[in-house]
Amino acid sequence: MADEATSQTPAEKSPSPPVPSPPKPKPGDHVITVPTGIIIGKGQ
Amino acid sequence: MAAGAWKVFNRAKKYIGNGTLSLSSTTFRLALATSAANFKTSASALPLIMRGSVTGFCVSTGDCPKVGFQLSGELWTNVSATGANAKILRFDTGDLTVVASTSAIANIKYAYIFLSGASATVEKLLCYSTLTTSQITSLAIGNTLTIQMNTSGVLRLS
Repeated sequence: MADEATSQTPAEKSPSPPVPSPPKPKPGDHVITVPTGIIIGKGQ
Repeated sequence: MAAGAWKVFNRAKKYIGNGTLSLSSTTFRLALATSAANFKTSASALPLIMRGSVTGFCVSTGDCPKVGFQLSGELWTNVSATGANAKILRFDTGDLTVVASTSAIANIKYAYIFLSGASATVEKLLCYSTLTTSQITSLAIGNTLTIQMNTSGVLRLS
């Protein structure tokens, strides 16, 4: 009796959850980046 | 126009030096002010000391209180090396998003950071920034203003 071929299917990868993208600014929203200030520094 | 860098109030430098204004504190707050704010009486003078001396703050019931917003993640740390080799130190906080949820916020021009205290008359001012040359006339209901701190921090001592 022939051995039944055993086949192993690779474990299915669970689909990775979608990475939420950061919310996009709406019209009228403001995003302001403030430059770093210096307390004591070169040339100050 | 890009926002102006954080400028340290003159008296704050004294208080940082004598330990009255500890950058290691974790109770700093940020508030918004209009172009009418009295942060300076000349191009270079930054005479204010306490939050109670500030005029021209933005007021919007609930959304923009005089007492400002609690900052998160305040951190005074070395960034270039550790221990005795640390030559650059940084004061940093998390970003802050102000939401005009119930009423518009008018005439936003400045943001200022101060050390939280028992009352406005004892809360020491640290620094301020000119967020924009032409003030934001109205942050309408539903809109946000996000103030991002530079990756190099709010203040550096180098």
